[in-house]
Amino acid sequence: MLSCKKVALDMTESLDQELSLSKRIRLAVHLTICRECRHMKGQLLLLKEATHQAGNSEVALPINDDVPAMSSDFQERLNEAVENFEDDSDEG
Amino acid sequence: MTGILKHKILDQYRAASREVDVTTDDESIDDLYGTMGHLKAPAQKWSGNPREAFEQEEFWEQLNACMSKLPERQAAVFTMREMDGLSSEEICKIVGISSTNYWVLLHRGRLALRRCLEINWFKKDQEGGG
Repeated sequence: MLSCKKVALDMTESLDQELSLSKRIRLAVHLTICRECRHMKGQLLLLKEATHQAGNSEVALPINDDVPAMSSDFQERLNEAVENFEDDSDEG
Repeated sequence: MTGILKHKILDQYRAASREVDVTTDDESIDDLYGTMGHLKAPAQKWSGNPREAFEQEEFWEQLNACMSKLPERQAAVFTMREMDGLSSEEICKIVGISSTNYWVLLHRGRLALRRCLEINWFKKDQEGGG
């Protein structure tokens, strides 16, 4: 079994860009068997979402209804990814 | 607030990069993982709906505080990527690092922030019975 360390940089890369096929496969295999890394990926996605919001808001803090919109496509993909991982982790 | 922090980090970074010190402990992720390759501080499940944190002002203050604790190069890479939306190629050029080093710095920064938020925010949520 591949260790968490061996797929760690692939996981970070996967949050930013499409992985090569071989990296994608080994990350997917690892995530299937490693609950900690599933938690990790979901939480890193959440962190990414938070910092995007903060970055878009410039000086103002994004609070309440003033939260600036991410592109709806990006928001959708993020939501989907985070929910998938949250669902996953609910099993155990 | 976060915007101000962002510019502060970049200014500091630009000033510091003129006296480049390439040898830092940021070159690998080995120290974060134990002998079996598992994280020394494994990710725990966060209770409730973590995204509800976005609605609370204190969460953003905590995120800001956690970001300000990051080592300089991690902060620079993370901020340029996630807040300024620069591409990895642009960031490598600005910071003067290889692509491998870029992913190491970004990964270290992300893990440190995740851990900081877990300790200072999400765990607190759990203790509160949420």
